[in-house]
Amino acid sequence: MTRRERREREFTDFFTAHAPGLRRTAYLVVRDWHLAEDLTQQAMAKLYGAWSRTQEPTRLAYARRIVVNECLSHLRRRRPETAVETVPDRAHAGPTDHPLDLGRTLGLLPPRQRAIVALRFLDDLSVDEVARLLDIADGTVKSQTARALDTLRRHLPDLVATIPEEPR
Amino acid sequence: MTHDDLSTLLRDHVAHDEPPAPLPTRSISAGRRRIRTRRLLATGGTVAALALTGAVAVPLVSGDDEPGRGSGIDPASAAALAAYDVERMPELMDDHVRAVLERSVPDLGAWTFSALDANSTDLPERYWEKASDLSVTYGGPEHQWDVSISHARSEAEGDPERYCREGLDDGTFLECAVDRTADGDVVVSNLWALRPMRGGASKVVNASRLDAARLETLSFERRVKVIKSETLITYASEKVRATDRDPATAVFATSYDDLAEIGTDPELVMPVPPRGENGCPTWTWSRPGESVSCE
Repeated sequence: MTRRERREREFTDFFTAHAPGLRRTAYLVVRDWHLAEDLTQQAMAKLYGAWSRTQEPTRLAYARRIVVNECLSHLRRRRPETAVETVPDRAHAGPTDHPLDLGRTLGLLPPRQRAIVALRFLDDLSVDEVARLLDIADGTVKSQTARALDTLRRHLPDLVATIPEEPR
Repeated sequence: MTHDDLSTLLRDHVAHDEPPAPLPTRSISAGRRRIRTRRLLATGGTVAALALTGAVAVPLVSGDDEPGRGSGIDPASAAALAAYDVERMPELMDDHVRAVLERSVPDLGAWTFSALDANSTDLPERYWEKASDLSVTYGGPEHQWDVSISHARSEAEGDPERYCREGLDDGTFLECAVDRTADGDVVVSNLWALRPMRGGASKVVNASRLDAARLETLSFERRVKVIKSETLITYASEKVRATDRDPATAVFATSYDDLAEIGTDPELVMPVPPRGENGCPTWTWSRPGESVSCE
């Protein structure tokens, strides 16, 4: 097997195993599936190009970092979000035929807070892992997480009972 | 409620309208382009060096300043050189060569790729980028095709018409002709008789000794040599075991035109190999226990 065949087989296996999860993380950050797909594919192309320089134990963390950076860079280049004016102060509460608008409320969060929420609660990473991935301090991860949860509680009162007071 | 409950909420949120799983092909294609671009930037010095030696030049037409030198490289070959990726070469060479050979030999069969250094030593894959010669071979001892790309100044220089004329006069060649393409490649086509030597190489059987040659070891070979620059050459050849000492009876399957088409393929190129670390002008593989030096 040539080196290129080996690389493509390993990359394909990695992609099959992890790209769907990475795309979900991207979706939580950019809130659009098409954009999440594009940014994930871009990130994976970068990973392919750097494949020989990556090691198996840290490859997923590296891939996740590229995906999140692609998302945050993309959002930085766009106009600021204006969702704040469109989301009511109180979310719909009450009957079960009005589902919780978690997606719109996530849109109230700044991109980096959404990324932190995605990494901590969707990808189940620890404070330390998120800090290393985003290249920020542990304390920043904790404070940003707390602010994000505060926003979620404020706008989705029915979630108060479901959102932990203290992040892990 | 716990951390896990929020996790569950988020997972339900992303799952409820998640599209089908993404496919890797797009990333692989884009990733390959990134690698090619990176290599183009990294080998910018090599392309510049070719330009300095005059190997990258405007297309030649007949009547260039030094007949037979073929001192330029055509733009299509130069473009292929800029996108060169040695890891692609086995498949690329097979794709391009097979497409032509299978017109006349539909059951061409498997191929062998080899990369050689300046001493004709077979190189492992990790040294392919330093090779002086890349080749693909099809068939076996009875009937064989060979296509190679190499850098060899001594084989590229000289007057090709004189090369043919002298070869025919002294009996080396049974046939020989020179053509030039519109892109400036010099195409030398020859027919000769060969017999095997020890070590797998072949020796030319002079025309004057053909009648006395042992038929069971005799072969005839059509070979097309394409000179693409001062050093870049491709060879495309077909060798058949002789059943008669008359070369007209040789059962060649592939025409000179097809061999020339392979040899002039602009994508069959390779960059100039690096200098040797041992003072030699071209890189050679020094294995443990061996010492090769030009100093």
